Amino acid sequence: MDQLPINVLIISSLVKIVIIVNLLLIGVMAMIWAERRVSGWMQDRLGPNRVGPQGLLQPIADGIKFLFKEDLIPDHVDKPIYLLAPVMLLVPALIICAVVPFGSSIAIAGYEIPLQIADINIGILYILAITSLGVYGVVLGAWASNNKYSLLGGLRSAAQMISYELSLGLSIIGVLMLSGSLSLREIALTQGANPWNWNFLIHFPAFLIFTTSSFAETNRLPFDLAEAEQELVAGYHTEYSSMKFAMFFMAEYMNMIVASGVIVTLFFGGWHFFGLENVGGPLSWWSGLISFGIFFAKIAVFLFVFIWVRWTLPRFRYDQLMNLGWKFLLPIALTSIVVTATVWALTESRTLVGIGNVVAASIVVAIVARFVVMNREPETVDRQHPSFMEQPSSESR
Amino acid sequence: METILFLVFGIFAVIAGIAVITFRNPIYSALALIVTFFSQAGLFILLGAYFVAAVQIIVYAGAIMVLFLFVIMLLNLGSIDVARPAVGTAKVLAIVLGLMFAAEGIYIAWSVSSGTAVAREAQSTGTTITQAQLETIKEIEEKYELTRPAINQDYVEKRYNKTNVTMLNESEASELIKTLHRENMGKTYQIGSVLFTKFLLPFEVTSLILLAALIGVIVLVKRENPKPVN
Repeated sequence: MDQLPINVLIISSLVKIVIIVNLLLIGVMAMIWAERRVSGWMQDRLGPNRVGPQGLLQPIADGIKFLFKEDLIPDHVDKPIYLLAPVMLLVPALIICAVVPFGSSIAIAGYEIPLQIADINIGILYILAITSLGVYGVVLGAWASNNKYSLLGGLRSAAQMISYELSLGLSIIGVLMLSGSLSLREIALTQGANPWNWNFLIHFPAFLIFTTSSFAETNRLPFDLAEAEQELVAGYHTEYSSMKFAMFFMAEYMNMIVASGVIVTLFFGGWHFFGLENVGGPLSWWSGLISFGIFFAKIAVFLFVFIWVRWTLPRFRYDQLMNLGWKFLLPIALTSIVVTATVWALTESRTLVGIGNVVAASIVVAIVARFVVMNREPETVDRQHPSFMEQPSSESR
Repeated sequence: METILFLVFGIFAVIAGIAVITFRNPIYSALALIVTFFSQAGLFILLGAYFVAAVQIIVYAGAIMVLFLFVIMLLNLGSIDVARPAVGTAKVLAIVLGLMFAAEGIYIAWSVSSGTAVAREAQSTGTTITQAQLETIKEIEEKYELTRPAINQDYVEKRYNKTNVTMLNESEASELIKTLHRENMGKTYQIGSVLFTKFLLPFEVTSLILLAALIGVIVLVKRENPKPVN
């Protein structure tokens, strides 16, 4: 692909940024509506259906409510950091989508414009780097609130993020090895149009690990220990009200949308779907728009999974969370790297890599379950010094 | 543009670096340190070392500083109101180290500026590519495993409208060398191949050291649990 002239590059990038950011915001609104309606449907109740047809305008009503609420800043907070924290959560969520390819490319005025804001050659590393920053918003907000429950939520979140980032990063190495590139566009292109060439079949355990870790990174149930209403009031955002709370809220949904986009790109062929993306012929308006549509349809499926899981699974206990992260996900991710590398070097067959990965992961799970988890001695609870993760201690901070 | 960005990142790095040691509250210091890491990542990007920049953020800003914050919050360190004055030996050591660091900085600044002056002089005269430059290009090709000279050829044709590297004049050739270096140095592929061929032994030794540290931590942390009596 030829380099675009610099003025075309700047103008097209600006247009793309405006479109993508607005789509994200609309997506957040749609998700708020969908979450409430789907949960209503799952629990055999109606959900919000008064504002607009099918309650579609409910998110707008929510937004207006947030805007008009009193924006109070408690006296006991550390003000600069208290104000900074929601921003530090929202900004990473917004800038991750810069490297996600939202479609193939579109031809405008003789220029081939890729549907991606920036195709940098370290795309996946950029995503890992920026997601790892999301935790600061939570941790700093929790600390600045100067509230016992908030602080506990922040500590839990920090420990959880560090644990799950490891498996998140390790799980994609197999994918990178076979596609031979760190650029997300390249990864999507190497998977091609046929679903049996997509990475979720070749790297099935890695896909499961990545999805699970994404749930943990976005603080969604069953990993929402940082909020945990029943134990910590509202966790890290207990002291936040009005639009500042809304920013935490929006960041969570934005993170979900971007995480779905990354999962689709890495494991589900990006904008490809049975060659449907080439219907309009290469490099036409049609094919670009269709690929865009396919990508968003796939994202929507994953967003539904996010909602589905939230209203199906109960929250993990803290030790269960750590066990899952360190004793299952991490060993599986490590073996999958070794198996992928070995099988690929010996046979160069994607099918065998896929089979090898599943077999190896099953063996690891069996070994860990038999020899590590079941052989564990019953833990004696130290009543004098309870773990900080379990109960807020009575002494003040 | 590059100079402006360099100045922005550099100034940010220095200011945040000073802030790290002047803030009384450890959380603020930690935040300032994160800003420093980001500015450094920006400087790495300006140098064309994208991989290093990403790793800088992933490892330092994303993992190590989160752990720092975690510990600070867990121990609930308040602001330290009275800074302890540096005592005897520490003061002397600080002065000596500071002087050494300053000397290093001056030496680097001097050697770089004299180096570029020499390069500029050489550039201005020649009308054809020198033998040394040809050799450097060949070296780059070998070093970065640019086995397809077509890459070079295309590049030369598109950019300078000349069919062959040998037809470049001297300043064009030095520019070509610079861009080749820049385009290939920071690439993940290059780092990987160098790491697993030329620097394989140091790489493995480093991983062994890290493993030893890991095991050490586990041994230190593991408490002796008496066996249950049943």
